Amino acid sequence: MSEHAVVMGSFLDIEPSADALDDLRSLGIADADITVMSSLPYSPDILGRPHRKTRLPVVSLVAAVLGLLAGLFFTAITPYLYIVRVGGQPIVPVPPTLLLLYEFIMLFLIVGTFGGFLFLNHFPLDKPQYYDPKLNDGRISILVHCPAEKMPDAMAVFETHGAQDIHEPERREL
Amino acid sequence: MSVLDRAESRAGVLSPRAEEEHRKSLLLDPRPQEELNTMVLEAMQRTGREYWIVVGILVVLALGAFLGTWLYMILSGMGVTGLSRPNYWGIFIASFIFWIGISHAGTFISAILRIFSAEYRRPITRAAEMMTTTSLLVAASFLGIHVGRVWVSYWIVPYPNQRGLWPNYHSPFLWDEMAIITYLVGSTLYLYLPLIPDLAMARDRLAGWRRKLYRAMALGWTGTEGQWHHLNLAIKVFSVVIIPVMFSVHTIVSWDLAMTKAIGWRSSIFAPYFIVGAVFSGLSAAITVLLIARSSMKLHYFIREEHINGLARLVLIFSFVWTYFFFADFLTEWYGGDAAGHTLITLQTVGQMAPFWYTMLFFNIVVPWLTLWNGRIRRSPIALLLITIGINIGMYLERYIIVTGFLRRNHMPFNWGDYSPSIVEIGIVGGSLCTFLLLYALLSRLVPLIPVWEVREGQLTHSLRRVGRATVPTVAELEE
Repeated sequence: MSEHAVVMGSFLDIEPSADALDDLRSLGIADADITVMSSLPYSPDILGRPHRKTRLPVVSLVAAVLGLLAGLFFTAITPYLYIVRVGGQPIVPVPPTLLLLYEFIMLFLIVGTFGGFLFLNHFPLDKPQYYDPKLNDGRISILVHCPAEKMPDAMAVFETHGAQDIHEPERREL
Repeated sequence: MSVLDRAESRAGVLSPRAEEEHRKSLLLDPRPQEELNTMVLEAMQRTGREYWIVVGILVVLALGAFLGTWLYMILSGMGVTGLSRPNYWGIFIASFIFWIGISHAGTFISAILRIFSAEYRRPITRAAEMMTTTSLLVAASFLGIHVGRVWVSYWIVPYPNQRGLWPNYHSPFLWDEMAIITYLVGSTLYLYLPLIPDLAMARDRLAGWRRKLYRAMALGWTGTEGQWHHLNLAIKVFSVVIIPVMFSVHTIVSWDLAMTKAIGWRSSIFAPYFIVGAVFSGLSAAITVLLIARSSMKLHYFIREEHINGLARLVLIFSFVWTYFFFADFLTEWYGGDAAGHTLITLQTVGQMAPFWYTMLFFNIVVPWLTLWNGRIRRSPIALLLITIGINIGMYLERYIIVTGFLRRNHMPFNWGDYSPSIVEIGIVGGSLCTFLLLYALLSRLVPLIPVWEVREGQLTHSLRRVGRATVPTVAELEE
């Protein structure tokens, strides 16, 4: 059984990064085994990477629905449990109830989206990670997980395209 | 264009003069990201004697004038204020509305300009969002100040209490509570989300207590594609959601007044009138804050004429819109012929409120209309600083007139009364300004004021291209 290897290289520009990614793929390394880290949000099309699906919109929608239910609970159910008669208005008047439902939906949507962002990214990340602090200076770091026998080829790809700091990284405290 | 410029332009070479013109724009004047990071972190860490003197003065004023006077009022009772029948609302509510209004600029600059891809927003969004969060905190404190018995304000929390009562959701005050909580939570998270990559950058470059702080706040950000994808999507959701929340907050604040039967308050135009006024005063305050931050933190590379010019244009537009709403509200009251309504108009135009009214019109209409059409004035930091401070004085007076002025007269002349704020109220309101400035001064040294990744992204997407005989800026799309 071949050993597993990890290799990282960083690039100063987008073009060589994209070329390196193409060559890594042609070595038979799956996209899922390649991680690109950068200081800017490059779209997948720029680097030739697959588009990711995310559940964040679903999380936001579910949060909004929960907000609607919470709003209904506070504005339409509890007033009947603890009745306060306000002159000229029904126990659950429609316009103020709609207004508050809107606020509850928005509040839960906002908190839910943020919570979803944390959850889907597994934040906060406490454990050591593969990371290159120099990416904050504009570099694009590519991390490759591959069988040990492919590691020399992966390193050759990095060298061919002018990568800096090609090495086998260790997980580090952030 | 000179003969030399034309010749070089035809040759496909950018003339030095044309290049210099373009490099005045931040996004066409790129520098290595390492240099940008260094500039922003140095600005954040740079304090110096003057800074600590200012902070020291603000701490004394915030503790003394704001908290100390408030404590005195809690111990002595609301009788130490100038509030009495029929003026049950005074400068505390006027200040509350003012600070809520200031908070609108952050959302406007950050969310609306982001959605419309106004690229000049890039270096100024965070400074504006910080203004939103700090002003909302100050605004929220005024609710506790105004109620007097702040120790029973927990009654507003919905839980089945022993008195068998439940918060009255028929009341605009409860709508206010929900709207402000939603906006405060939303704008704080909207400030925090795009800050994460810059906090990671600070984490990697700094040491000591700052590194520990940023390490915790950066949540383990490593800049992977998945993290960026989720961040961009979350920011897009926030940008869209926070805008209607922003509108709803000041609409509901206006309904605190408009849902009553008080003369001058019961007006369906109050909601849009207040929103426009809020954005007007907020944008002006944003310019004031940006000019001070730029000068004190040496951020001239990031915050340039183009940004101040862009915001000043918006201020002029909002001055026009505010004037329209003001006139519509005034005309409706004037034309109605209601005797009680006319007493208010008399009060403002020739009565007690006249000095405030004319000062408001001077700062909100005369000054902006006479000055901000001029590009040289819009690009002059001193002129803009004075104009925007004047606008905020004018807008504070607008809230003062609406809240305290309109309560002085009603349908029953025996129930008329005058109001002037006591020294306690003035102390608290003045102290609130110091608290806002203090919070902002401290936050600006804790958090990178410029979103470096957004600026750098903008610089990568902007370039110069020849079109015909001209060299023009072009913008690409990096995001999904």
